[in-house]
Amino acid sequence: MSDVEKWIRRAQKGDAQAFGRLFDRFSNDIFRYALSRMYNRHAAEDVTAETFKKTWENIRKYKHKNFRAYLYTIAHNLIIDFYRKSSRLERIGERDFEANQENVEDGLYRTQQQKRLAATIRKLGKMEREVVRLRFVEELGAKEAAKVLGKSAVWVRVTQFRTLRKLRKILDET
Amino acid sequence: MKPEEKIKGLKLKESLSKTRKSRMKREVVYYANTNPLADKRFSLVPILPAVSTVMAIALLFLPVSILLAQSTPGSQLYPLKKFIEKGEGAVASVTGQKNEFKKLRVERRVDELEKTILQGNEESQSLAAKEVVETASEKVPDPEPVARRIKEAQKKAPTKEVKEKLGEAIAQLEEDARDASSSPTPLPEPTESSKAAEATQEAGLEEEIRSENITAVPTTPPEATEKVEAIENPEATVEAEIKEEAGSENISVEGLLKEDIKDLNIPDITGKL
Repeated sequence: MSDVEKWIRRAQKGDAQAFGRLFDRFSNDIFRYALSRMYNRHAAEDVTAETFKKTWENIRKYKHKNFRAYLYTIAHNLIIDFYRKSSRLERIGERDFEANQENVEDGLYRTQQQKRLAATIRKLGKMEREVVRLRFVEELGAKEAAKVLGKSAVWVRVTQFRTLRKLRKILDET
Repeated sequence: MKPEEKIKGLKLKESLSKTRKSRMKREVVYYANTNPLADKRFSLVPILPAVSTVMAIALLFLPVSILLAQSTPGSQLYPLKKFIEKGEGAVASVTGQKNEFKKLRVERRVDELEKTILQGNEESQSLAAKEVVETASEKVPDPEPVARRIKEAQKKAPTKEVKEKLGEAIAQLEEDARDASSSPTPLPEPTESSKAAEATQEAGLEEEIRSENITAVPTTPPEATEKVEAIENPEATVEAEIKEEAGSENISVEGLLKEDIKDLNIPDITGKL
């Protein structure tokens, strides 16, 4: 049994400290995911904290094999709620796939390439963007991404295939 | 380079600052401590083995109980049915429902008899008739309807043997019915009208006693009677007292009377004297 599984078992018995360990382990992943979808850093932090609170409330119901995917699902739903409530849906993607600072230092060419890629991805549909983000940026499996998005694994694979084909075409053209 | 590999390079490197992360952790742990986990929802899973066992037993016994109810004398399950019935009888005697049980039992026997007659199995019919005779030999409450049913079954019975046996049962039940009708009935509870009749009867008796000059024991002492008379006729009483006094002391009655009567404010009655 891995450490994560042990902490989950203890948290399910009501151990708040074990849940704190889970926060240590996954909080940055959730924060980055939230930040990649929301313009505001504070909003991403709020979503992260809220994700863990919701997870605590439902920890006894947790039966997934992948706790990380479970957290992403909760975070995904909270982000949707956030935009629904604040009517700030138009801001989605503003920060999406922003070229990271380390790569910027590597050289101008690579940064330009990444910027072009990020701009291309922003042209995709909402669900296509989500599939690309979960599969390649957050590195979730097709089944886990399907759980987060509330779709089937086959749908995720098909969407992923079509999106990549589209991306290739756009990138080749440019 | 494949697009998916390029996309991987787009992962944000930003993360929560240490202070911010520790503050958020404190917040989350505090939330976890102040919001204890709710009790688990009711789940059937822990009691599933027990429920399934009960269901299995019920499913097993349901057909058996149906078969038992349908069994007739001569069938393999009939002894078991009788055995269970004995148990029922013991319970009925404890709960004070013996009469109801007896009635139910004799009705069951007659049902069995009717069933065997319909089936046409002579051996079973004979056994069922025997069972009816045995059950009827024990005093059955309300035997008349049962006797009627047996009479009807007797008409349908194909063999002489069965008819004779059923005749015995009918005779027994009819005798029980006669006994029940001839037994003294308990006295009814006194009603309002009966109480009134009783009161009238008592008044009649008192009158009868009076007409036969039967003196009743005085309920009041003689002194009390005198006092009552004095209250009713004060003048006569005073007169009598004065006469008595005068007689004993040789005093002129008339003079005394006048004076005393004046003092007493009693109307003058000396003229009358």
